[in-house]
Amino acid sequence: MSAMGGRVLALLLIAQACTPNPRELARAARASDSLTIVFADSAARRALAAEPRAPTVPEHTPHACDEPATSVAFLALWSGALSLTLPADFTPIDTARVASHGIHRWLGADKSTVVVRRDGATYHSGWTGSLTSECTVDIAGARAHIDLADATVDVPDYVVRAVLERPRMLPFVFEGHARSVRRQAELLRALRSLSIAESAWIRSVVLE
Amino acid sequence: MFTAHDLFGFSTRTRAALALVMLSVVSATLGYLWASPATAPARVQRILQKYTGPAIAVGASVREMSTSLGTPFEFVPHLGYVAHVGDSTGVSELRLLLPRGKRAGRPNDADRPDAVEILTTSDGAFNTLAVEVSAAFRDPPREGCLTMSQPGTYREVRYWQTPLHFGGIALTNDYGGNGSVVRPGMVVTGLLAFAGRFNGGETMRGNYSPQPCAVLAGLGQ
Repeated sequence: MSAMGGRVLALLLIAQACTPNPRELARAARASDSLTIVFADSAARRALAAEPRAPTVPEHTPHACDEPATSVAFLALWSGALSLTLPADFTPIDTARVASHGIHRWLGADKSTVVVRRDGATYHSGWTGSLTSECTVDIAGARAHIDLADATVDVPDYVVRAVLERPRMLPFVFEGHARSVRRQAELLRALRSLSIAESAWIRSVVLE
Repeated sequence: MFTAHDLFGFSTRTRAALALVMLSVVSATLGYLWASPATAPARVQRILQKYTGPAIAVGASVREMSTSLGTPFEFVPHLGYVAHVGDSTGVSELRLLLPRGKRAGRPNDADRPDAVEILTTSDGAFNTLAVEVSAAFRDPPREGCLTMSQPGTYREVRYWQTPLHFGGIALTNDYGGNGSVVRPGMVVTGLLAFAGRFNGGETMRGNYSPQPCAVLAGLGQ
């Protein structure tokens, strides 16, 4: 073999060292590509987590003016001069003696409570928390001011409170404490079903 | 007269074979040296180190960089080493890219990358980097495009080289006309500092084309 042959071989060796290997390059490209996708996904997740959250008012929180439709079974209940429909899991917890004082209470399976009583209380009272909405409507032939509030501290406490008024008569107060927003909507619907016998209003006439 | 021929008594054929072997060794050595990772020019290192700190340099060993940075690197077969480091956005990735012939093997602390890449999603990163690199090279960039594995997805490439092509900087960013985006408004920007001449896909470690992404995306230009 001549010196020329040696040069050709040398050039071939150099060329081999410098020529990209398409398969190796494709593997490198795939690795880089995958890393970039993973990095972008990770960055997107972090950015999403860092976004400011919306106020903590839960979704579908009912408004005091609503008469929400619910899917649970309701049961008509009577307690003295009062009648209303409540979710079927509510049961009365009053003794006859308590009821005789004009206080009517029910307890739900999830520890939600409803109380109806005659009281001179004013609006926006009876709980500690934020008022989420209020509304004035007619219920049971009376002017009713409804407050919805979130009094949650350690346990969920969504309040439905209404003061039902007739001129020169002691108001009735409906006060429900719900364990969930869904339950709050159910109590709001129960409030709208409240009926007070005329005799009860007469007994509560304020003597001037 | 006493000659080497008299000393060794080689025939013409033997001499030719020896010459061939010597030439092969010399050319292979030269080829290896030519392809070996080199240190990038000071201008390139300066730009890179502005964002990575002095611990990171093209051509430095993985051991040196890992020790100085205090962050472990993860070996990625066929590519090099990766570390996650913090920046103002909380997310940044540092890649030590190994040269051809070195990246298919096992991790080795003595590996020396011939390119270093940082990726970030920091707002306005591309503009900041483009202004800085343009000022350092006093030259407009050359443009190209990386075609990603996901169909219809591209990354724009702009690169600068030193006059004698001893190294350069490439900036990459998500192409605005991509078919899908990971998160609206988020752009992944990359800065790749490399040693040696820009060599398309080999330098970028991707499916590189020296055309704008708009052309590849079929929008023409």
